[in-house]
Amino acid sequence: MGQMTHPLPNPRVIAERGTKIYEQKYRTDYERESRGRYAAIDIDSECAYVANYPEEALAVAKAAAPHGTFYLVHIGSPAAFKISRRTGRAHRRSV
Amino acid sequence: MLIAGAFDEAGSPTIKIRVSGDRGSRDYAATIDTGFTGFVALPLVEMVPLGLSTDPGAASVMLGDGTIIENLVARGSVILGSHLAVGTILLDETSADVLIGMAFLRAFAVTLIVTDKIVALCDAAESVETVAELIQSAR
Repeated sequence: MGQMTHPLPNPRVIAERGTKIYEQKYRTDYERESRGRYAAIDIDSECAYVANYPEEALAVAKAAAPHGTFYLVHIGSPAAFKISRRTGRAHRRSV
Repeated sequence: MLIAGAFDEAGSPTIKIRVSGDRGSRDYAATIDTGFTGFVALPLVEMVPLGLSTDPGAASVMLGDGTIIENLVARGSVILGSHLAVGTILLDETSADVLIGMAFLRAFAVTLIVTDKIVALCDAAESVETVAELIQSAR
């Protein structure tokens, strides 16, 4: 039987930290220059890696910072992804 | 490549996929959701048996009612027919759905065909005649 040896990271904590870094350091420039692309924000180093697709942004970020923790942003959008068939249940915040 | 799917009890189109991680593979009847902009969404509980690594990373997801949630993200391999693609898999702790979205269709370069009776994905190698035959055969 498989065992979890490490606790799972908390996505809300990653998102809060990543959002704060993005708002403070990148949002203004990126929304002017790179709208529609994706940014992977390293919440430890505060570096950002931009690419056309989410897979690319995360791969570039991972290559640059193998031990980084990343928050993915779709530049110019309120969320990195949309799922129209699901609705909020016990979720926390809305736009 | 021409992959036939099916409709689930709710009438949603589904297609069989195989998702692979470091520990193994599992087959799923994934719901095709053109309102999902990502590649694949899985319940978080699938992460352990598949051995998916979250890197670690997270992304926000806007739901149909405007709610924004946060999901862990993992890199995973998906097999459709005999083709393989690697993409970003969303891991949701509150949903039991397995979804494939627009990034999945883009990754496999397939066209989605849905009529009142058939669900299929086909790539550019399939002829128009073959697709027409499939549609005709369901009538």
